[in-house]
Amino acid sequence: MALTEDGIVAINHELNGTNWPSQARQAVIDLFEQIAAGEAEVERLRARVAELEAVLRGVEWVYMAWRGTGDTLVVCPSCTAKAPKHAPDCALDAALRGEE
Amino acid sequence: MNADDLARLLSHREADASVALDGETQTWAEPMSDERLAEVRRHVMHTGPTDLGHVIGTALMAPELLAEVERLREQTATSADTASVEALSEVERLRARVVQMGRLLRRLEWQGRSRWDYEYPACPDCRSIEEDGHEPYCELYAELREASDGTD
Repeated sequence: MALTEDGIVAINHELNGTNWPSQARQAVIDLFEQIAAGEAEVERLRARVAELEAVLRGVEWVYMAWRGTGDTLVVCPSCTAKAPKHAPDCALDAALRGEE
Repeated sequence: MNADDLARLLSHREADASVALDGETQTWAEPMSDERLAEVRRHVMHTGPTDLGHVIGTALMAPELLAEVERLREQTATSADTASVEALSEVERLRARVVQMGRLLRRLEWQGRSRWDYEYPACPDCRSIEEDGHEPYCELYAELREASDGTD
């Protein structure tokens, strides 16, 4: 992600009045670009996490025939606990709560 | 360049300033205080370009530091997301979370049950059985494809 024209103008404005060589100005602009790239990556990853969360939330509870009785129950596909409570060690529940 | 690099530069700059103000030859000033370091970090992470430009500009004011700035810049050029320690930490945390969720999604891919037979394994999202493959509209499958195309 590159700096906007306005961003570069703002930086140059900040640097005006100094006698720094162009190398120094460029170093500052490059640094801003690195920061912007880091922020863009954080935003991309946050959006990706939100997508994955939405899909996992959508499959949190599924219909399943209970072994033995054949009764139809709503269970978690990960821990097979009956809704609405997950097993304490359920990976899906942990992921939806943002835990490791 | 990250916040620590900036802090180091600012520390040098403050030493230069003390020399100029006092008119005496001095060795490097005392190391930057924790409070000052925290202030620099706040600037790097949370202020707009103009304020940050001022911070960096201050660090760059001593011409002899330009070579050091350039060295640091090149050192970090290969990883643009290391612009700050905090940002890097957040990127790593989010990447780990994406990987964790992608693995879980893969594990759950056929842990649902068919809409026709609640004993038959199927995708928990589109409820297709494995032999038939996912439905075209299946969101779980779409996320799995995205995870495997390398963008995560």
